[in-house]
Amino acid sequence: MKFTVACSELQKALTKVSGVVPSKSTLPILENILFNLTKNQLRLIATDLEVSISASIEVKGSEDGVVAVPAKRVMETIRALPDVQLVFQADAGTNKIKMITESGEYNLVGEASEEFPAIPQFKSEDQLALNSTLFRSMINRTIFSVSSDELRPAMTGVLVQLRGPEMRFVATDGHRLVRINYTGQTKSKIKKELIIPAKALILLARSTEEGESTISVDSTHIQFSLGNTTLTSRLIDETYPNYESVIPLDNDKKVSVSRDLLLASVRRVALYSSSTTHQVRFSVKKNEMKVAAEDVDFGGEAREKIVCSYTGDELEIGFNGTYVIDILSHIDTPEVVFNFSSSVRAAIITPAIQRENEDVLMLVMPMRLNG
Amino acid sequence: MASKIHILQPDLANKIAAGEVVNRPASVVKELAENSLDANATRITVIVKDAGKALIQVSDNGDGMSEEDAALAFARHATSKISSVDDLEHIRTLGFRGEALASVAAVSHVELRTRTANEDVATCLKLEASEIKERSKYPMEKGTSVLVKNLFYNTPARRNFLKSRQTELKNITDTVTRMAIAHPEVEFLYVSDDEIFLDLKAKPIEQRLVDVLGEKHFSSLVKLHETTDYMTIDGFIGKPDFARKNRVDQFVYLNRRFIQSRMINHAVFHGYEHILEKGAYPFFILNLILDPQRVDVNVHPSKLEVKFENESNIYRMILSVVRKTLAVNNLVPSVTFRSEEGGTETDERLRFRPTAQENWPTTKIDRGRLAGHGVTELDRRDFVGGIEKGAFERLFDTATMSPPDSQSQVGAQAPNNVLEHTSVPEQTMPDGTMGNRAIWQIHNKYIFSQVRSGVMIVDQHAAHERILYERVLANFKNSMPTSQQLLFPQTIELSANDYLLLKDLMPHMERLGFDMRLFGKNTVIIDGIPGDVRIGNERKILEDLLDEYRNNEHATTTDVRDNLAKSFACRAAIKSGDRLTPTEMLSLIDTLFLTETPYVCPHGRPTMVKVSTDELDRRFGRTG
Repeated sequence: MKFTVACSELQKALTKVSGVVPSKSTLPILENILFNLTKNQLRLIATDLEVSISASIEVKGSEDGVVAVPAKRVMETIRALPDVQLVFQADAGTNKIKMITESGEYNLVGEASEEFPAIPQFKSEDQLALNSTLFRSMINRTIFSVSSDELRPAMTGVLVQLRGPEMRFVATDGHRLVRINYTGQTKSKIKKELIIPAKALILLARSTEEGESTISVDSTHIQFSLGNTTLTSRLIDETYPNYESVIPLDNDKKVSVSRDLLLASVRRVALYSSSTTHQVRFSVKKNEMKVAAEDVDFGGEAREKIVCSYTGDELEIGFNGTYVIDILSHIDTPEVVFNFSSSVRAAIITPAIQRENEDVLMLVMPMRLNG
Repeated sequence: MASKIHILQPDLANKIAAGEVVNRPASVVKELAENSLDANATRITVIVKDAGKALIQVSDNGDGMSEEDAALAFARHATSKISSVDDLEHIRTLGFRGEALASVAAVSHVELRTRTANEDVATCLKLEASEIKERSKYPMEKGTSVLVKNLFYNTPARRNFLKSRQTELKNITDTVTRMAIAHPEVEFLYVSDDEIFLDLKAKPIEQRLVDVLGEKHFSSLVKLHETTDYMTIDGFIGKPDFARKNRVDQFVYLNRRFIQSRMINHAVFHGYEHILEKGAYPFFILNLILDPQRVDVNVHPSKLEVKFENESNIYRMILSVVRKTLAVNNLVPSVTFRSEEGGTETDERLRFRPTAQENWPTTKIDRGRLAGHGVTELDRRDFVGGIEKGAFERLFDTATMSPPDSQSQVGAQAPNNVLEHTSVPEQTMPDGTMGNRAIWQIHNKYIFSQVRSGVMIVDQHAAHERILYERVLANFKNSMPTSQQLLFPQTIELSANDYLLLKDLMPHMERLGFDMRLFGKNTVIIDGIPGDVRIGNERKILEDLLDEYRNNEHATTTDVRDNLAKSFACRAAIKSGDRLTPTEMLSLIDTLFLTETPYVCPHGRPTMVKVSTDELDRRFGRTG
């Protein structure tokens, strides 16, 4: 295998795939990136067996071939080089790799390409196109409430419900939940429910490319293609909990409050909450919201008052401050609305004004107050 | 036909009886010295030669006996101490069975000299094998002196069974020591082969203990006292760091009679349960004072065992008084190395407790572990929002300081240094210099931290367990704990046994922060979990909790809440293998030092070990 490429081009491609390379794997071959050259097309592939990414670039090829290249060393070498032309060659028999620039030569040893796990063959059944900016925004606003509990694998991913024109993202860890409804998929006819692993979505959200993503789904895998990059991920084959049934519909205590003021306030007050429970108390009465926290262990305490618009009965409710901060950070309207029912029932937080074609609902379970 | 069965000759009967009462030189010393104490002596001299095999002499300045009494004293069942069956119910003397002198006389050459206050000269009797061989008069002070020579000369089997000289001597020494502790108002002089072993003046109990145990040892004790209608408990208990790997140093007295009682030992150990390492035994001296009617000391001729009327009552009282005493005193174990402790004992102690030396708590450091693979120094920038720099270094140093002067330590309750320092934690860091507070996690299991005088190693699981345990106990006492409500209530099917157990525990579980409903058919629904349980573990925690509870139930007799707290702490605590961020580690250590007993986990294992710079220097050959 032999090709010539500009370092900066190779680096861009490597960056796209390197995120999936596991840092410590029981399978050392996974710490490599597969280089596959066909004529002038170099395809880079990385996988952790669950998620695979491949990216293609144009190079000046002179000899086709395929080799597994140690990811860390090649990445660091390319990053450390100025933007010069690089000749990359690999011996098909010994897998010895040589990278030559005008002024230097770098030798490293690769692995046989046969060792590298095969990327799942994809038989696309259903396809849909999605604006990548919208897609990333949906991911970013749900991924934070995904569970990390291995015992409940369904909740370690984001539930994506495709219902023709309606697309719904749901994430929950059992303490809070986010549901985003998007109804602008006018062209789509797919009706499917998938649970996509968090890792795949995090990798997707990291990419910055603009344009239309093509999403293909089969029974076990999902594939996202954008430009010359493809990400393939295993789907989580579990039953997602019946989240609809736990979203209360009769929360009648509506509190409307400035998102920035409240977020800043909770951030300050939460510093004084117990380091293990992070409990922050909210008390609302007519047009006033009190935020308070107390750290019994270390004896700290903080209280703040902010203006809100509320006319109902007084209510006191406790939350894990971290959850509230997370939720408020992922709503971008100036006003948010809290819908309470009682101090032991779920609270619903929504942006005061929904975006076009969107319905965002965030839910957080309270902490029963001590006393 | 001649009858096969006949009455034994009196001397033979006496020899047989002697086997029960007098089985070694130490028992002779015990019997004679007890007689002296019963005779109101204020000075007792014990002289032995060849570990008592050649000579045992016990002299006192007590009441003495008249000539008639003296002769009668050696007859079997002869005693001045009781006279009616009723007296047996109200025994206030150490002896009462009327066997001791007869038994001793049966197996040795005895010489008795005694004079009462009313007589001018002392009576002197010499006996061989229970028979009076010689009577004479002898001038001496008021009191009694018994010389026992050639013990077991006529029972060769018994004589051959005597242990080595050291062992027998140690037994005699222990016997004298036990009495000396119980009777500080009596002078004791103890001489072996012309060497003075003990020369104790009549002094208050504290001073007597210093004389007997050595000052250093005494300084490790805290006083204990409790009076109820039923009984009075007096005594001293050792701080946990002076605990031993064997049970040598335990003194239990009942109405000032030295006794052995597994029940009482167990009660005391139980009191130490959470703060002593497994296999370590605390030092203690206890004197129980209770109505003689409530206890039967006449279980065995040697009276070492007694039978209490209400054992469980006594058990509970001892347990609670030990716990209380431990709780109000400073209980900080210091981790020290053998070489540092060794030579600091007083001479007295070295001589009297030759075995004690081997049992100092020691800590072995596996050098390989320190070699550093897997150790990552964490970015200093991560240290945000911590506690005042050096807060816990200071604490730890306070903790390992040697105890102050012995006298001042006992009596007055020792202040709890740890709590004093941490009661005013500082939330802010003055200038952001966290530099000295390097902290590492190694093998995702131990936290290494530099402290002023060395390295502190914290077991993350044990430390967190201690924190949770105390928090849970506090929750039980105080208000309702926080309970994080669950979006998806967890339905859990339990085994019938677990379900029944859970049913019993329900009210306590609520105090833990569990919000649960019993659904019938062995099914339970969890609506909320304690706020400090890591997310997503509800089901496992509940199941493990019940398992652990069951295990503990077999092992100990602790109450429901304590067991539950322990089980919960063990199951909910971070495990070894969990990766921690620097902030978490700092918070863990700081919170640990806010607990009442930061140095051991609820199961009694240590939460931390300190290796001093001196020790490191020594191991690297940097001495001097």
